[in-house]
Amino acid sequence: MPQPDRSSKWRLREVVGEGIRNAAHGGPRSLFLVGLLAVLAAVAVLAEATTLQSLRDEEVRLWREGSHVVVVGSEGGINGTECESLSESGAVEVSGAARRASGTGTVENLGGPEVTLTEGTVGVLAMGDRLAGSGSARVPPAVVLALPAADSLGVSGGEMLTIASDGTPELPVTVDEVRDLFYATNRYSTGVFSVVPAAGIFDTCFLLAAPGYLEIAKAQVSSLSVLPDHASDASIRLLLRTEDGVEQVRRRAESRVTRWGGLVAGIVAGLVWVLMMMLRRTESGLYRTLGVSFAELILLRLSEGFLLAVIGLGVAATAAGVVSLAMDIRGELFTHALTAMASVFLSVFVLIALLAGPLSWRGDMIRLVKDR
Amino acid sequence: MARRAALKAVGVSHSFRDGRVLDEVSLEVAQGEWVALMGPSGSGKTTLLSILGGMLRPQGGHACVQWPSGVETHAASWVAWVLQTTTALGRRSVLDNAALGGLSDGLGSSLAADRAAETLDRLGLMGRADHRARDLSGGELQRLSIARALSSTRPFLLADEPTGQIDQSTSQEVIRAMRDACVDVGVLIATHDRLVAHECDRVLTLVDGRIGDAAT
Repeated sequence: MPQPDRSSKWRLREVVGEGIRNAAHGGPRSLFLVGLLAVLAAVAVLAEATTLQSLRDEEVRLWREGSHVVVVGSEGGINGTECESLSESGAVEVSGAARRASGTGTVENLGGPEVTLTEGTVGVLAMGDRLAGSGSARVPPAVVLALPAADSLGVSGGEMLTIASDGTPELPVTVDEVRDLFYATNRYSTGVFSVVPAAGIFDTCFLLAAPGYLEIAKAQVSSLSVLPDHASDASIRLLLRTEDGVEQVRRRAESRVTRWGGLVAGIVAGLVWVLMMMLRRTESGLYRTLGVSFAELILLRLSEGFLLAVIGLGVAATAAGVVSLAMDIRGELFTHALTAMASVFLSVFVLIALLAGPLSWRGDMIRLVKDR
Repeated sequence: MARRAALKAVGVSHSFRDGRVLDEVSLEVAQGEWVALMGPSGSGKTTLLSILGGMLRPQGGHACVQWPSGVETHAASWVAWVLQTTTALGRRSVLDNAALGGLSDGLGSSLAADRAAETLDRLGLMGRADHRARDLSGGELQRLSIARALSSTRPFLLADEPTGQIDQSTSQEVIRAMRDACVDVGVLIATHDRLVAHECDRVLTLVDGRIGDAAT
């Protein structure tokens, strides 16, 4: 004899399992949904990746023209651990003497060949604790690298120099090489850096800053006492203005693509999902007669939709990856685009799929069950 | 005799846009009892079943399961259904569909499948267990619907024209199979079929929204 307090509800595992079984046995319906999700997601990923790629190409073009440059980075930042490993690996080593452009420092792996900084040629200015003069070994969150006046060394804008140990310039390193190096190591791709022609002997200045440190870096640059006396205020202001402008453009473009791509794909896929749920109201009625509660029905539908969405995303990632390879889109741009799009897409889709639960069983269940 | 649980409707009234369907209807189906509900089309049989099964909220009165202790609970979790229309998950196997009844009672997949197989066997559908439900004939689908209900462990069963799509001889076999399977289950069958009604302990008629003559 059953007791009044006995629960006859479905167990969570069975509800989720039922959703997965429905997805697996959906036949053409499931295939259609997976295909639709895959196409939408792949288009969104490619739109994102190609836009980012074009931004990078634009950066190179600007750099080549000796104009102000922005580098589009991905999310994240340089934290203490990464900075330490950077330091230990010798990838970037900044000596106290070099930061005053009056000693010798070493910057390895930046331009391929080793660059030795000698007095009067190159200054590496370290910010944070070093600028504060604490003498801490902490690698700063932002670095300013200044190169000597290009004209005086016979190179044009958009080229960097390798400098021999005796201080004479050697083969120019192209902008592309420097860019590739920065991105390949990915050490500074999380930040924004800019190159500006500066007055005096410091013709070129890089500002590298991890996200969150940019404002600090700008403030530090504004008050740099270690810059040569003849580095004009105008050049620093130019740097800051450029930095602000390009970063705004970058952020606008990036967020716009990510948001719209994922949002549109998620909404379209979600609405199709809702429509299909409404067409399957009889089935929902059947579950209702079996004692499936409101919440369980939503969970059941959500399990079914989530599985199809994940499979669709997998197909989309594969397809978009192949197309990206063919289009020569940089790997990290593709990864960034995929991650950003997937998070927005899945969030929107899941939200709409949640709506499909109530929509699919509105009205009294008997009528739904009889409504064939 | 110890008091048994009962499925009850107390003073239930309900109207649709085209008029009143149920007018202060009261009835009780005890656990283990078979009751036939007869009446012309449109007399409110399905509506009454819907209210008893907790699918439709009555505009007047109430429906519940009353337990021997006197406690009353909402009926939805304690009632299995055999529907007038043969609804099934078409792409799923017959066994999968039948097992839904057990799953709905939290039996777990394997126990529900065992119970479903036993019920399918009793209803002569075991040979079709691996087929997709959409490949079944109307009669087979109706039997599947019955198997789904019988594979649950609920103490009450509401059947709305359970043999409506089955020929007469099969109909009798199915009803007998139901009787064998429904041990200690209270059954309320809405039917036009006098042979089905003949298998029941009591027959109620619903006319103009009221319970009419009762026969045994």
